Amino acid sequence: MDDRDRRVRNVTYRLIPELGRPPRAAEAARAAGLAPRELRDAWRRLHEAHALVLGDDREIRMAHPFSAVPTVHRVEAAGRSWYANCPWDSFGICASLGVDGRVASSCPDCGARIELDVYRGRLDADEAIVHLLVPAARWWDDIAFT
Amino acid sequence: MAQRLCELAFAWWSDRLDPDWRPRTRDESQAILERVGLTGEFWQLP
Repeated sequence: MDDRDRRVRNVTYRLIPELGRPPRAAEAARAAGLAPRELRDAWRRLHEAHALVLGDDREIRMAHPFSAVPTVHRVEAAGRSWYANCPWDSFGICASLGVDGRVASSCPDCGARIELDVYRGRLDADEAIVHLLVPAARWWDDIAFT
Repeated sequence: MAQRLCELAFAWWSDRLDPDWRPRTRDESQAILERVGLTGEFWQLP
């Protein structure tokens, strides 16, 4: 990743707390002072570098740990509601914002609602279990499944 | 397990909104996993 793409990446992420979600391409292009095509080219390179994940529409699907599309993993933090990509990312939203928060999801086995409070980087309860299916070496084989 | 995943999340994601964020190397990421006790073949990055 060269400095130019790193700048585009950082402008893109800067917009997340401002907007309460990952930006659309037009919003990021405007903030970065780039033509839409230049922004799209930079995002494609960042996608290939695993710095963000684009959907079929070439808009951001994931700007880890944030999700641009609705998911079952919700986070209440910094006065907003956020979507995360997975439980790990739910905690990561609190981490990246540097705040406490409430993480909500549902059990993929029985459907029970799960709510956990994150306070100073730790959970308020110890009994929750997260089952990770994919080994680290294969996380990016299919990041949406991971 | 969720507690450890939360610990990992804070070690892994805390820099994501830094204005001067830089990508980590593979070894730096592996070191974070090891620091929170996630070792073994399952946690080996490519």
